[in-house]
Amino acid sequence: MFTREIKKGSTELLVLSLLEERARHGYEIGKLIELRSGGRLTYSLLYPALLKLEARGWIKGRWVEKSGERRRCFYRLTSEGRAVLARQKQAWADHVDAIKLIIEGDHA
Amino acid sequence: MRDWQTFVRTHLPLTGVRPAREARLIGEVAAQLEDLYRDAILRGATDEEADRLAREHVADWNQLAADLAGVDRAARVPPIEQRVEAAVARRSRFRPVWIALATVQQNLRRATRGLTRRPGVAAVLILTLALGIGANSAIFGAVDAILLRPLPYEQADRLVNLFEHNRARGVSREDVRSTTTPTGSARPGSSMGRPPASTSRPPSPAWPGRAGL
Repeated sequence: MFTREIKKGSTELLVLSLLEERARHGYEIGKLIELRSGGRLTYSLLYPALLKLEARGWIKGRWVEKSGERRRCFYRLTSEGRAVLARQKQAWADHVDAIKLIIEGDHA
Repeated sequence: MRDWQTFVRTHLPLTGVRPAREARLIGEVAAQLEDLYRDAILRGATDEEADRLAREHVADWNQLAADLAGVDRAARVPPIEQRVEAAVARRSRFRPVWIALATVQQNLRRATRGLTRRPGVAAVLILTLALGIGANSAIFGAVDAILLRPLPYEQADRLVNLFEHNRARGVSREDVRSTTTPTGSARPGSSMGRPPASTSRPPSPAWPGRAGL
């Protein structure tokens, strides 16, 4: 439904937002995006994005092995990532408002 | 159930990725495929259907490998560039400093790459620079010793040169240390020293004539 460019531009924000609540693993993040977007947004694999965010120091991955479960890498938001998320949320909201003003025209 | 780790290892052509990173990436992708498989089974799919669903989840393995390798390469940026990124992200007031340092480093890196690509040109450049610097140093050394550096005496600006001139005999001599400054502070072998208290001191009787400065 959405073009690759639109998805690419919002992946960082989506991942950071989902990690704001708690640490999650890659598969869980992908499923949550699909679930919360009502199936309109799907990502086959988020690892390039996760790797990029980790390299920037915005998230941190840690392998966790729970009893009866397979070993998984859980990602959590760093304090720097939290600050970036706050700025990105604001920037995204401003951007959407600006786009709306343009594409919806003057209805006054 | 399939060994997803082996499946991913054989399908994901990760080249140029650090070994530790490669193992982690393969592990993570394999874990995701396994999750997909298990979810499909829980939803009532047959083993064959679930396996196919997981296997076909990644449409383009080469694209995925290229994306991952690209991110890994970018992650290997030098610390100074990471600091710039961090400073920009934090809107630190030291941003200009880090940006300037990163620019200098980038220029040096570019210059080094250019020089190593053409070693002949590099040799000529380095030799020219070395000769230029050497010649400059030599000229400055000479000018400094002759013109700039003060003489190794106290109050060097008050040094005088004494000489005598005997009109009657028509002779002159410059080294008058022994007669005009018997207690002078001139150093051996030098005709210069502190000027006497009074420069109007009468010349030696043996040398009737003019003394001057």
